[in-house]
Amino acid sequence: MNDKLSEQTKQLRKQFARTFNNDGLLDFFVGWGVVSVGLFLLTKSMIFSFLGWMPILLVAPLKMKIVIPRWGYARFSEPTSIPKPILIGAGVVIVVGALLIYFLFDDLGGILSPIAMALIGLSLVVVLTTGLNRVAIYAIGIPLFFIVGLGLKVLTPTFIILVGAVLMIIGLSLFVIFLKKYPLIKED
Amino acid sequence: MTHENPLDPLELSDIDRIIHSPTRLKILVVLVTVEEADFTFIARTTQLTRGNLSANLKKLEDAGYIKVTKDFIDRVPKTLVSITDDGKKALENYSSILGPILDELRK
Repeated sequence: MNDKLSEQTKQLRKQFARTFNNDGLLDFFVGWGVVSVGLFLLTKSMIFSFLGWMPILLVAPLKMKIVIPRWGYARFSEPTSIPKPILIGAGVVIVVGALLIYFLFDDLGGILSPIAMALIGLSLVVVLTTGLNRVAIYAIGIPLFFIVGLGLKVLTPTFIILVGAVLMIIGLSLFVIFLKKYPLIKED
Repeated sequence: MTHENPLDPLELSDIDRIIHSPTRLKILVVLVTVEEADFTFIARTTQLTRGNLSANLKKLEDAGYIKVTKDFIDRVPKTLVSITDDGKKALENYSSILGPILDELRK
C-alpha cells in the first residue's frame, strides 16, 4: 500500500476511534469519580471512596452491551492512540511538574487556581476534539487536577463536585446523542 | 504497472469492475483500515443500507476480495469481514490504473 493511502487509512482509523469513544460513558463515570472525591472531602464518609471508582468497572461491559451493537465492532491492526512511551513520558513530566509547582510555589495560593481549571478544560478539549485515547487523557488530566488543586489548597469540595457534575452532564449528553444517532441495526 | 499514456482509453479496459463500483470501493476502503470488522461497523462507516451492504459483500466475497466469517463476540453472533491479500492487491492495482489518469486530467 503506498504512503498516501497509508496516511489516509491512519486518518480513517482516528475518525472511527473518535466516534467509538464519543459515547460519553467514560466521561460520565470519570465525572462520577470526581464528584465522589468531592463528597468524600465534604462528608469524610469512606463509602464515597468506593462508590467513586467502582462504577468505572462498568465502562467495558456497557461498551459491549450498548456501544458495540450500535456502532459496530472493528479490530485495528495498529493502535489508534499515540505511542505508550510518549504518553507515559508526558504523564511523568506533567506529574513531576505539578509536584514542583506544589513544593516550590505553595505560597502563591489562589493565584494558581485558574491553572487547575485551565488544565482540566484543556484535557477536555483534547479528549473531545481528537482521536486520542480518552483513558490516557483522563489518567493524566484528573490526577493533575487534584495534585495542582489540592496541593495549592485552592480546591474546595463544592468546586470538585461541580467539576465532576459538569463531566457527568457532558457524558450523559454525549450518551443521549450517541443513542439517537446510532439506533440498533440488524444483520441480514 | 507502467503507463505510456494514462489517457489512452484502452488503459480503462484493465479496470477491475468489481472494485469500480462506488459502493464496493467504499466497503474495501473501510476494510483496508481494519484487521476485521462486523456488519454493523461497515454499515455505519459506509452509510449503506442492510440490503445493499449484504448484496455487495456477497459480490466481494465471490470475487475472493474479502473473507466473511461467523463468530461470537461476548456470546453474541457476529458476521466478521476482513479484506484478503487478493483484495489488497486488487485495490492497489485499481489505484495504480486510475491514479495516473486522474493526475493527468488534473494537469
